[in-house]
Amino acid sequence: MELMVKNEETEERNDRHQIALLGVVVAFVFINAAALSFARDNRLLFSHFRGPLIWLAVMLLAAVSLSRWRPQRDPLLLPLFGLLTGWGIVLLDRLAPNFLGRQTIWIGVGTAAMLASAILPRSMRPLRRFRYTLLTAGLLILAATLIFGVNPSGYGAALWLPIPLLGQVFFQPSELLKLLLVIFLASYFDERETVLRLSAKSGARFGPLPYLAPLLLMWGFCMILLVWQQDLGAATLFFILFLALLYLATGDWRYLISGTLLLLITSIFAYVVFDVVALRIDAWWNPWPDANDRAFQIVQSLYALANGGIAGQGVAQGFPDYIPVVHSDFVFAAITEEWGLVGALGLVCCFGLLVHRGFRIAISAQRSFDMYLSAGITVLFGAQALLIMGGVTKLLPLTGVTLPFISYGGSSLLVSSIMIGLLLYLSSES
Amino acid sequence: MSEPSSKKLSDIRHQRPSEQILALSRAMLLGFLLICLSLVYWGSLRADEMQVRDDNPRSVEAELRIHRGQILDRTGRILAETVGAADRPIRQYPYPNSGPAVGYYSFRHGTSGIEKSYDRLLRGETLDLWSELIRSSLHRPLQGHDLQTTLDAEAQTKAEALLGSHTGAVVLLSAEDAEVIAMSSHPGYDPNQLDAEFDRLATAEDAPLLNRAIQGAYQPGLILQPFILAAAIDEGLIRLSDEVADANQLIFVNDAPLQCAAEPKEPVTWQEVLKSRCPAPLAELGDLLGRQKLETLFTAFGFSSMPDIPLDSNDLNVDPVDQPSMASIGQDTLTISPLQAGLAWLALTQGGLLQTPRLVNAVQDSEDNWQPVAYGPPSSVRAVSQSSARRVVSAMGTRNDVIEFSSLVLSGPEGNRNSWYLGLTPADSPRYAVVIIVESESNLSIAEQMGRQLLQAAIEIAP
Repeated sequence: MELMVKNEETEERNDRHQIALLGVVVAFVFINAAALSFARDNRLLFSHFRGPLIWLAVMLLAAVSLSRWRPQRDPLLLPLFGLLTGWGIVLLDRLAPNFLGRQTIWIGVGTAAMLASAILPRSMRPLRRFRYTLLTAGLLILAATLIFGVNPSGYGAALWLPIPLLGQVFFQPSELLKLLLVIFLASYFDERETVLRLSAKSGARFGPLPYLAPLLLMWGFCMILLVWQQDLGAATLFFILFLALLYLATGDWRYLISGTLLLLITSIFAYVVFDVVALRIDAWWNPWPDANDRAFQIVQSLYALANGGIAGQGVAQGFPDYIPVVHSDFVFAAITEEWGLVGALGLVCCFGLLVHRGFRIAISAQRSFDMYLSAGITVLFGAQALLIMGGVTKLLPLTGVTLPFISYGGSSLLVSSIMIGLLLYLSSES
Repeated sequence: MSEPSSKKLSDIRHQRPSEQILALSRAMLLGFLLICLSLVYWGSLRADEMQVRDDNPRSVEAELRIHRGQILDRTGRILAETVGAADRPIRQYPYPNSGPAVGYYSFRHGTSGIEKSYDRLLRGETLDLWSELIRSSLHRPLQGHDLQTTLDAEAQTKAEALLGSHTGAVVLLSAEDAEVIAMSSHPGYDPNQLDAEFDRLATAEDAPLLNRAIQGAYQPGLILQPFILAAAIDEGLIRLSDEVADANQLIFVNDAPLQCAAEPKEPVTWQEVLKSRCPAPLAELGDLLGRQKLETLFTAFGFSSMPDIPLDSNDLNVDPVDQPSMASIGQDTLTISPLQAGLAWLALTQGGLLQTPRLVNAVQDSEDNWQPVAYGPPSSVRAVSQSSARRVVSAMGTRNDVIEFSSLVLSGPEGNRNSWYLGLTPADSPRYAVVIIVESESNLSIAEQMGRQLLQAAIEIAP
């Protein structure tokens, strides 16, 4: 009886927190939409509010549904999801308004998928049971991209599959593979963790090699496909995910060291072999001699950062358009230029908070699979944000991943939404 | 042996790897912290250096956002204004012959003329520290201020038309305040077409971008005669009614023979020498005056320093007088610009005082209120005495209410001749002075007609 009262109290508090935070987020998004409207047209124009209004409706629906069916969820996740997607809408209206309608639809679809994966599942068992099927399906689609892949912008790596019957809609299989891979790895480590942990504890260096062999094979297959496709970002991301979960499963930091070394060696190899890698590493190491040519993008990004100052230029008052494809890979530079250090640091804190809550869900997970899954998803979010933010600020070479939830891109948004949904589910289970 | 091992196994099975999760969490948060530091580094520590790099398009954008002020003529007509969309402004010059005083503004090629010397005012970089802080933190573009020149658009157009296809320069001044009413230099340029034609303009041999009215360095020749005579009268060397022997004697400058422009009428007095522009007596007078007197005279008439006017000028290298006889007929080391000649002409005809030329009447302050531009008083020392000056001026005589003096001047070793013309009108109470040089033109009447018509036009524009 006492426990139930306590539960109800927690639930009420959850709802209050979520509503309060969402209120702040809604205010932020609409103030920025208004500012954009004034900056662009010197008056309030409905067209700048269409996206935010649809977003608001979707968020309210999500808030009500989660309160109703997932009262024990983590109350921070939905406001974070709302802030990032809402900010993304304003930013896309500012940077590439012709993509805005499409992205708004994707936010609707993504939120629906998030709610579905947060509310519908009774348990995570099917995911575990059919893990090889899922992974094989993912790999097949990825392999199909090798043959049928296109690039909607007409040039660059052909990482997209056209979706039949939907016209100009494309899907990026490596995004889907991200989700499938994290499920697969979670269930794999869940099954093998005892053995892995024991081998690690017994002191035999690389003792569990026989157990790891299939895993390494699977990973190698992913790598080959991705390197073949030259999707540097996804390859790096998968490898980081794999290393992090391996470390969780074995508790042995030597895997991290050797994995990082492997990553470095792979990078050096790739630097020598692949032009695209060499170009990005050169542009990262010293962009200035090539500032008008091969390192144009990163140099323009640094100019945007420098122009932001403390408080930023204000929405639509900076010049982020000088950065090529600013609306996908370089939104972070645009945010820094127009919202300044204040906005950019705030955004970093949002991702920091997301990572913190994700790992908290992992720590308090009841089942081992849940722990791996939530940790894996969190690692994906964190690493992806770190890779692109590091790339934009010249801390790391550019890897060409999107900034989760904010960058333009339907596949990325859909998959990220599903992963948030899974985190919501897992948080209400723990 | 088997018992502890199985115990260990169950221990491990129930062990949550929360330590590892915490380690991963810390590693990632450390990563985010590094991003924050990197942001501070680029956004603050190295921001200034990034902002001023040549290839940063933001400096272009910031420049384009500035609403540059207008340049007006003395009656408020617009000589230069910025029109077009806020992010693609165009600098427009409604009078394509606004001339070298207005100059040009080009984003790519910089500025010249008033556009250059009043750049900060026109851009609006005149705010005090506090207003500038507010402006820059609100990211408001600079709002330029307007200025009003002493130029008259109509007189300017007339001067340009009169100079036409001749190479040379025209300066029209107000007699009272030495206000520059028109200034032309040909060949010139249309500031509206500057971007399109800049490469040609910058490399053309006849130097269209050069402002001959100020930057031109011409042999003064016999145009010096009235000044020398006034000085000689002051020194007690001559009187205008004194007779002169062998006035029409030939003298040679670099083997080129020089003689009176017209046969002097008998009896040949100094007045007749002046009217007939005879070089030989003047050369003798130069010897009598001597080096030092000549140099003092040149300095007093402003020939040894650049006039104080906010336009591009050359560094003036004044060489000491070499041969006094050559110096007094303007064929020694001294070269002067048309503006210098005009100001000296004004000094002579206005009682011997050298004035500071005026080009800008008023400027807007940071609240857009008009503030008059203050000019100093004329030189305190008279170049020549008022009475000698008056005598020489009246000896020149008037023609159609115009006091004038003109001369063909040997220029350069090839025997080229430039036409100089100095004019002043109306004769009894002068209001306008004009100085004209036409390069390589041995028909003096061309410059004379030009000068008379311009003075006539000036009187008609503002009777």
